[in-house]
Amino acid sequence: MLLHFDNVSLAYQSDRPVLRDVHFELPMGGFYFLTGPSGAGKSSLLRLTYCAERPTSGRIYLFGYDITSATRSELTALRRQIGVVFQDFRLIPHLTALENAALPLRLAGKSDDYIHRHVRELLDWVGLQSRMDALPAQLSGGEQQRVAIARAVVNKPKLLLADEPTGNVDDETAVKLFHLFDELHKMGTAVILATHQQHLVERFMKPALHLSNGHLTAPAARAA
Amino acid sequence: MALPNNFFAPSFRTQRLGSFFALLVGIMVFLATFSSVAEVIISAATLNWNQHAENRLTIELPAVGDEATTPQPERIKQTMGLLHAMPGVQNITQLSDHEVEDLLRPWINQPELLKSLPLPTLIDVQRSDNSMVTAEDIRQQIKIIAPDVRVDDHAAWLGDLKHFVHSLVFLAGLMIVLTGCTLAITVNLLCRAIMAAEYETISLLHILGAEDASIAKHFAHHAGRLSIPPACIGFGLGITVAGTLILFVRHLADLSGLSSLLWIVLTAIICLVPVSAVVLTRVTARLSTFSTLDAMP
Repeated sequence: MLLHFDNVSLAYQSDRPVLRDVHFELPMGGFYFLTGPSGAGKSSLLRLTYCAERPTSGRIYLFGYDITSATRSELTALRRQIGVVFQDFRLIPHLTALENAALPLRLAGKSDDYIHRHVRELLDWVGLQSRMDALPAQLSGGEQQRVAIARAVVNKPKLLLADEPTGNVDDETAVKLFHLFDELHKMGTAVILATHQQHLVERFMKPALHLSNGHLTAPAARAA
Repeated sequence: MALPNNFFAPSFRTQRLGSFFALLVGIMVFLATFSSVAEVIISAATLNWNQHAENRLTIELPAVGDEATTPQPERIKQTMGLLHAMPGVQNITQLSDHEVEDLLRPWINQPELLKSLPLPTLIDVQRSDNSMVTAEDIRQQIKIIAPDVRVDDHAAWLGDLKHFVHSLVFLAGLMIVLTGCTLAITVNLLCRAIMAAEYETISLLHILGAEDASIAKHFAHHAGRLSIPPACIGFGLGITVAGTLILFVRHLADLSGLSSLLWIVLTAIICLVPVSAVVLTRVTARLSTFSTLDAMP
């Protein structure tokens, strides 16, 4: 099993839990939409998965490791196997599209030659071959999100987490981005994609986890 | 380096604290350089005094009239003979009348009066380094020849002066330590402020798999680079001001007797000030970053 939430609860304040007894499993190469209204706990669930938070109770197993008790260096190694896409892109403003997309490879200590070749191919694949040297401010919302997706998958992660990746783009761009996630899934990457755009979830026919008030109210019976 | 070299550079350049930090580094290095020069010069001068005066004493045989039972030349001859025979006495020099007049001239600047005064005979005695002979021993022995003899041990007044000089050296050292502490605190504040401003970026780097050591290395690199120009300027100003002051007070301490090797060592110590400031900046930045990162998820 790639990811296993075992009765996980999270509370930033002791009397107001954000997640309550969340329990689900994601198999290798699986795909889940994570749906629910704003404030339901979707981002918190993803933050727990990429180890930006520790659960208040319960256990999280990622690639077989119990990340609730992992050390900092173990977490670093685990994070390198995860790709994350954010709603607000979170690109570094003074780095070009190519440099932004190359960051995970640089952090992993890959050679300049490898980075140059690999990142160019990837940006070409997401349709940004002519925008590689542009700064984020010179790119449209859809282009910025494609750079963010390239950055998230440049390390060939086993798990891709996307937190409202189409929240800041128009519907047409959103559909294109969803196709990109679908392609990555078909290449073998497990995906959890948080969104509140129900029409896109229905269009892509993937299983969904539904969060409401911190409860996983409609856990998926199977993974895609 | 894992991250691009310029990764945190904009934050270090644009933060107001960055400019304040550069100014403070300049001032700190200026003060530390000035203090170091003062400390080195004072220490070197003390060393010089020690070499020249610590084992010396002056014997004063007051002038006697013609009616005295033992005339002054005879008293001098017997005293010199006694001193030559005394173990632990290395060198004896009788000061000429001209030299004695020179010593008195600051107080009595009338040649006629000086000529008419009954000047005492002064004998400069240098003891060997491990000599056990005290001023009192010498006085007791010469007293037999000249009961009115006075023996002035230079070690006594030199001791008071050395205490004063040691206090000055201590103060200069304390000033260097305080400037170092101030610099470390400033670097710590700068790094924490920039880390607070860059919290989201650092969180992102963590999510992308950055190690704390890599982030800390970049902070240390940028803080170090930021400190180099003001450290050089502060050092240059410190040397210029201290050098100018030394020119004005050079008559107080004759440093010409110091060996060239010692000069090289002292110069190297002073040149270490800006280097130490940059190294301290880098180390503090690295440690501050690590401690802040530890508190992050």
